[in-house]
Amino acid sequence: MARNPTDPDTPRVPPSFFEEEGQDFVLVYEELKNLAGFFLRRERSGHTLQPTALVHEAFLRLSDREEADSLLQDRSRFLGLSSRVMRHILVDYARRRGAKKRGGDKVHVALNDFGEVPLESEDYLVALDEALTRLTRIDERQAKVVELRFFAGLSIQETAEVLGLSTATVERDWAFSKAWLHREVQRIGDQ
Amino acid sequence: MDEQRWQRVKDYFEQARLMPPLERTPWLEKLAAMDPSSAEEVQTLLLACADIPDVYEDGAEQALAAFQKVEPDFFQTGDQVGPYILEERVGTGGMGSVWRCRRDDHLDVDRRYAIKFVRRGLDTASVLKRFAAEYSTLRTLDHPNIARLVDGGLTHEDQPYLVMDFVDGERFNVWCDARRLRIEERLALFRVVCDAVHFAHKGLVVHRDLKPENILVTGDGVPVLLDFGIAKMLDPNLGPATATQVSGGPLTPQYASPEQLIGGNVSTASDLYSLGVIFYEMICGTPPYRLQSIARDALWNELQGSHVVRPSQSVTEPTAALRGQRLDGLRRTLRGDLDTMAAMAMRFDPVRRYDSAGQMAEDVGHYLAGQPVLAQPDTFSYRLGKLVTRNKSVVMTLVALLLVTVYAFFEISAQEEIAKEEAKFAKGEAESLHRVVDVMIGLFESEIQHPDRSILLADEIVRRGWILLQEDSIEDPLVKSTLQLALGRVFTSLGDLDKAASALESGVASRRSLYDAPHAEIAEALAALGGLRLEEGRLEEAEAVLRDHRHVGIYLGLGCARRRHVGAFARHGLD
Repeated sequence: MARNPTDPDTPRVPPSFFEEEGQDFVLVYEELKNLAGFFLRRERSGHTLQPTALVHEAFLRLSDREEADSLLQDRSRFLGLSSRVMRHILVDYARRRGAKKRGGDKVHVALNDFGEVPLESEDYLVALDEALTRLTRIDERQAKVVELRFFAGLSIQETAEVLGLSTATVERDWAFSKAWLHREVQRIGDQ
Repeated sequence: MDEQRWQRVKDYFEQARLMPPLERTPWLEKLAAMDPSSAEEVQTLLLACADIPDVYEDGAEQALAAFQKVEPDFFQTGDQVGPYILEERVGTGGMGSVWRCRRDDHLDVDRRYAIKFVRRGLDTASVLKRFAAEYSTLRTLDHPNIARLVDGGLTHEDQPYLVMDFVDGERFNVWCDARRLRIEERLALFRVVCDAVHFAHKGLVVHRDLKPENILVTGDGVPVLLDFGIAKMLDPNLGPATATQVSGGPLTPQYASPEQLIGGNVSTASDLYSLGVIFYEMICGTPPYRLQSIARDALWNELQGSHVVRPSQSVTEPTAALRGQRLDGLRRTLRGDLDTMAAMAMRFDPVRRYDSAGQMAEDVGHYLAGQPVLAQPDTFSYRLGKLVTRNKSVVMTLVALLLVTVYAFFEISAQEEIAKEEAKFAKGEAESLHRVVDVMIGLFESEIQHPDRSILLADEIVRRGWILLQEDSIEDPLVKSTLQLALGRVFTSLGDLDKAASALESGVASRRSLYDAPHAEIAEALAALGGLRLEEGRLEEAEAVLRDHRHVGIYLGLGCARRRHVGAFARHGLD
């Protein structure tokens, strides 16, 4: 029989997670997950998949579905939810990839450099997620800015609209968050 | 960290970030004397700030890219799935990997199968339901040119898989090129493909993802279609019992029909469109267009905006050589019937494509036998006819206006012939001409009852009007500009934007030359040109033109043209 085919691309999400997040999260999660998997496997040379493109497409596709009606009426809420879903998908993926590499698995892929980061890219993302969770406890708004900017790929302007803030505030939050998160990630890496 | 302190640190950091770097150290020293713990925070943050990695700018994108590069392989050669033993991975489809396999519990030991694993999503249960629903239909598809679905099931880990006949062959286009097949030989193969598609359609199975990769040609030269109906099985948007087949699942944009891109109803006609794209590429060697977008609506916009050249115009020396011909030889071969057949199969409107794959196969047969083909090019009359049906009153008005103008022109010319010196067309007469228009419209509308007749007549008038303009033989600027504008508007409605632009731009120029001061006639001309710019999607120019026109309109207290274009603005979200 097949050797333990635990699909590394299909996160095993504990059901409780979805219960806490609610039905809308599950909807968006399924849509984005399917889309990401689908788009990423298509042969496309020289094109990078933009997180915003994914989120936008998910929005369009959900508009065909009745149960998404209330969710889609509130675009800000949809974007907020999407950014959390994207965060979940990407971090989950990075976590499993990182674990696999350390496990000496023969799958080895050269990754683009994530700048001058001493940590492996997957590990950076995982640590970033950890730091971001901590940031949420200290300053929730700021953490939201990061989720929207980073994981959903929204611009400063869009982020400001979604959160009902001025662009100046978002810019300030973003600058500070980057510095703070990077410092925290480095500390995690030093441990 | 308490909230107040956090806020303080944020403020300090912001101040420091914005000041020139050289001033930071003394500033931090001062701060340290005042509030040492905050100073330390700010200092470490500034340090971190200095080497913030790119990850913050494109991290999510990068992570997605990394996602893409890894194709996890969790099966290995020799693994057994059900009764099948995996031999070699032969591909990675959009939805999972494909392996060649055999079974050892079978007398037919040489027979090979293709096993396709379906990536597990959250909706495994619904995928399975769809599998069960489609499976029985697909199993009945028994045709020598279609790879048969033989089995399906679940792995021990609940991963769905499908088993098909393994086809040892090469991709359709690769096979043709490798053998430098001539056009007729390619067409003969293509005809077999069409027949197979037709067979499946008669069994009510739509392929939904026809492309050269799904057509293999065996060593004996037999084309075999893969994955018939599989796309539907995998479409996450379809329930097991969906009556309307709304598309939304995995598709290959390059070959997908417009209705698939916009999520419309998928039917056998959608396969015909894909066959059209394959046909196009087969005869001339380049795809009709290359879609680059990712999101579906963007793809649709791209497709609408792409200009498809005739196959005969897109051949190159190398592609001709692969078809055993010189460049101009191949051009001549493709020009006419084959160009038309490609265009017919690829029409955006599903009902205007071939009726069936069988009909397309027949038409290929006609061509090969030197008989006339069924495919007909879009004619001007056809498009005008469509427009008449869609928007009868508008067209009739324009046509009437034209008729009058043309009529008046001939009258004037006649007069001028008779008495060149004194019969200079006066402005008063020009205005009376406009009044005549109203009367004529009424006559014209009652005159034409039969739709076919109206098309013929309209076609003739538009054609003559255009010739008149090209000849540049009309001297009276008001008559000339009226004709230019009327024709321009008809061309705009017909979608012939180049001619429309030519007519309207000269119409505006003619009108401007007529009057020194702002005038309603200029406003009318500008309104028509603005409408065209909107059609062309040149929104900024449209706005410039229409603003100018509104200015003119307001100046004159002229309401009617203005109101119409306020509507146009609202539609395009401009105003």
